[in-house]
Amino acid sequence: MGSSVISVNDLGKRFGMYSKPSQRLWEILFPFIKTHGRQFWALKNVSFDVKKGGTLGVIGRNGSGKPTLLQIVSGVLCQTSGTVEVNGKVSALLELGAGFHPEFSGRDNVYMNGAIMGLTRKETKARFEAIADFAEIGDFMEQPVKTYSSGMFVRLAFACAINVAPDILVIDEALSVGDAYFQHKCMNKIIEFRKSGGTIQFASHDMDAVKRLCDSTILLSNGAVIRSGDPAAVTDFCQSMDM
Amino acid sequence: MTNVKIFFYFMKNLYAVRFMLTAMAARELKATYVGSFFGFSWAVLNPVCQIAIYGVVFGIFMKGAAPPQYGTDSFFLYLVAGLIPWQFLAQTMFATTTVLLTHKNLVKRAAGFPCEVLPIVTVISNLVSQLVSVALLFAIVIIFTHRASPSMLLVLIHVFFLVVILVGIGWVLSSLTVFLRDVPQVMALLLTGLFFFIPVVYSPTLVPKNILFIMKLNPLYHVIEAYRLACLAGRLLPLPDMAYLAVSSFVIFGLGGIFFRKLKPVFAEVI
Repeated sequence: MGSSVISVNDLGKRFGMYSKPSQRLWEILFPFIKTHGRQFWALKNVSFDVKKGGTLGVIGRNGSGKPTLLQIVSGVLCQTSGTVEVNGKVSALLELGAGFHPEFSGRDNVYMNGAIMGLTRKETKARFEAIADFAEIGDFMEQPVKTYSSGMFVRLAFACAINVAPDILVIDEALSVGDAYFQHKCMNKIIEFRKSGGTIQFASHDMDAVKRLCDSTILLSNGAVIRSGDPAAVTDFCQSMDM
Repeated sequence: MTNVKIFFYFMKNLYAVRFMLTAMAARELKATYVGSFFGFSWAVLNPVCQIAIYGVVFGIFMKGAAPPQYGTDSFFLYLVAGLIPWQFLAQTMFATTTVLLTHKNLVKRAAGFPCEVLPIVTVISNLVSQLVSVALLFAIVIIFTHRASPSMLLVLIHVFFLVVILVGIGWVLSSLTVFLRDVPQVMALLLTGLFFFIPVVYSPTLVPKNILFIMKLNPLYHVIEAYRLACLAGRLLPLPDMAYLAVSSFVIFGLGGIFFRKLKPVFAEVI
């Protein structure tokens, strides 16, 4: 038994639906005031563990709570109940290029992205070659990001995200970006990352990718885990459910 | 007690991201001037033009008299030494209101991004312009009085306190704007009011005693006073005022931090 890198226990996430954001403010500042926001549980009683070097697949239909779960694990959202323990640096391939500034060159943005991910200038410099090689945008590296095609943007963003030396990679359909060649390249990079002992949480609609990549899988439906375990069994169950 | 604990944890995190802080401040500064014709010269041009406008209106048309404690009878110098810190604090306060909204992408989408750095980044990038302005202020004082004294550098102590205050206020304003989009509008009005509720363009001797007492509760009053004393007379504030400024700036910083930390968990959902 290896140690758990991601440990989620009885996780719940409630979204309040307020007619005005200011209602929320009063609720936080003055807990004794009850506003009547409607509430919606996006996740309920979700528990799972991912061991070091493990790859967990998350599948489920649209609206089953996959992105919410990934956002909580990567620390963008906070849970309402339960505990989430994440040991290590997370790099999320959720929204690629979130920190990019359109007016600055690719190079500037690579350094900036490194700084946001907690790298010093020196550390980013050491990785710059690898990032530039992977992104394959050539001389555009010195051009402002606003001049990039969407493919170039995503390639550079992916290259940045995967080269910051994360311990944990959280991936949400990131492989549906770029052309077939680039998708293949990303997949290889992810497999390489896993071989080197990295931990992955992977949400997808692509059952084949899940079977190929993951060593365990959970199936979400309406925010609850309804099946978990061996990827082949869970994906088969998911497909049979759709029929 | 838990608030104090949360606050210390918050501070520890800030220290851990200091590289990010400097890199982002440099970028923000560059972004302000990138593509503009005069580029970074705006950092000098802007205060020079402001000083010229206020100098003509309040220094010539509505000429007041400088109170005696600054060792100069030039109302113009009195005016400039108050305007420079005012510009810094007004611009920074206004800029921090919208900082979380303009960096929506980072708040909402970047994994584990500590958004508490954003108001600090705004303060730091404005601080750079302020330091240029302070150098300009020194030059003006030296040209007008033909005296240069190293005790002018005492101003830097007050720049420090002002930065501490502005970060604290920045945390409050930026997080409030997430929920109440009216904050920038309200702030624009408040700043206009505040401009006249601190003796920037007039002498405090014109203010009735009991109103002056209320004015002095505002730590920003003492910051502006301190800039003048340091630049024009080479002195520090009287000890009680200095102590009040020091304590209140750290109280504002601490309360601002706790306030921000309290609202932070829901930013990503509301923005």
